[in-house]
Amino acid sequence: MRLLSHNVLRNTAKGVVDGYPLKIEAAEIDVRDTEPDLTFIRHLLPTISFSGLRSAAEDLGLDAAAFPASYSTTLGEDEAFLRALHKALFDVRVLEGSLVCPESGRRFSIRGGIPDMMLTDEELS
Amino acid sequence: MSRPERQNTPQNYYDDKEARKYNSSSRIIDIQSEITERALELLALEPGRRALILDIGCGSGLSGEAIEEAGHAWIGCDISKDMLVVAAEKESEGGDVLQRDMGQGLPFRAACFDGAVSISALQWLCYEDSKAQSATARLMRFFASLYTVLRRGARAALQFYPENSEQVLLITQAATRVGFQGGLVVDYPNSSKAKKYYLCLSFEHSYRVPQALGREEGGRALTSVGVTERERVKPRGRKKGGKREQVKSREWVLAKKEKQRQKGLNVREDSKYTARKRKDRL
Ligand SMILES: C[S@@+](CC[C@H](N)C(=O)[O-])C[C@H]1O[C@@H](n2cnc3c(N)ncnc32)[C@H](O)[C@@H]1O
Repeated sequence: MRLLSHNVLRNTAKGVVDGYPLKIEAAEIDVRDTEPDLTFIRHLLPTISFSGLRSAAEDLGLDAAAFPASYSTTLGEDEAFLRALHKALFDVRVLEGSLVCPESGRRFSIRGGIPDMMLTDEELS
Repeated sequence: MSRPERQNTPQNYYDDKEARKYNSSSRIIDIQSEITERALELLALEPGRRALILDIGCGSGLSGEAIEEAGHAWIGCDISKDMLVVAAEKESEGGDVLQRDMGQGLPFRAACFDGAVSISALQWLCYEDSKAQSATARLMRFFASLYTVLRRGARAALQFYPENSEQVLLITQAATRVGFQGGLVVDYPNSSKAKKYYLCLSFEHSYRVPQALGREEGGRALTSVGVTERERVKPRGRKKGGKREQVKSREWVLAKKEKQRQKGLNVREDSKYTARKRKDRL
């Protein structure tokens, strides 16, 4: 699971309001450099949840302070920031661990890099 | 040939053995990448710009590979763990996968994706695996969630293999009931092999589905159907003798449009072209 996926994922089970951001309990992570596409990162900027990003960074022991608390239009001009954002969203992957819903405490396991987001029938509204 | 959808649940059908077989068949690889390229074309994304695409029923990542080749990043979901394991083994640079049954709704925040594709998966939702969950309820949950996770201006192109016209109706009705505009594009309607159904969806009221491919002159005109204008109306049964019912008269169409207006629906203005037979374009 990339942090980009973490940034968009939420728990939609019955009774849960936001189900976001999911807390990451990582047992194994992998970091692999990929070529940043800054135009693309700029394009993603307005859709990124910065609270989710900071929460993920904290969970993984990354430098959460490198990321602002919220979006502002000037962020797109800061190349160093865009590179750091690319690295966080695309290069860091959680291979083993769990995602935990901040509201219900429901755990979703991550095995082989694949989060299991399947709900039970009882969790459907 | 009997359909796998009739025999098994998707997660049981696409087990480890089937997933590996599926992913290594050069025939399947070619077909899936061709369909995916067409679906991306139907999305009409901004040219030359990398986009974030949702791939619904991404399987072993064959559609994802085509999305990447087209220069986009993607997030895929699938119900089959075994298909996803094969996808994850590819360590794709632009893609990422998670396990989810689309009939449970898509587990994403609002307005995250620049577009969505689904390649050869949606028909599975027409088959009921659990008594507690009707096909209609699952389709509605799926489309309602798709509606929220797309960014403004984003579109969806969902290719599927309907078993019959009831399934086409079930799917298109669920899509329009949650508020989508759009309709079906049926490519190569006269070829049993190449014929492909794409459900093209958008938020725009003025959205008109793109032109279908491979329509031969003289072929039935109903290859590109606006859901709101045609598919929503229950298709009449064929008359005895196998002839299709007459095309609707102008009076019938005008009356129908007036009724829809009174219901507050968004209906095109009447013009001299209303209810005229369309030319068969090539
Ligand atoms: C023919 S494969 C296509 C896979 C991929 N899109 C491709 O083009 O190669 C159909 C896929 O749909 C998935 N599928 C079926 N029902 C599903 C559901 N309810 N939710 C998510 N995926 C589903 C199956 O597990 C399978 O991987």
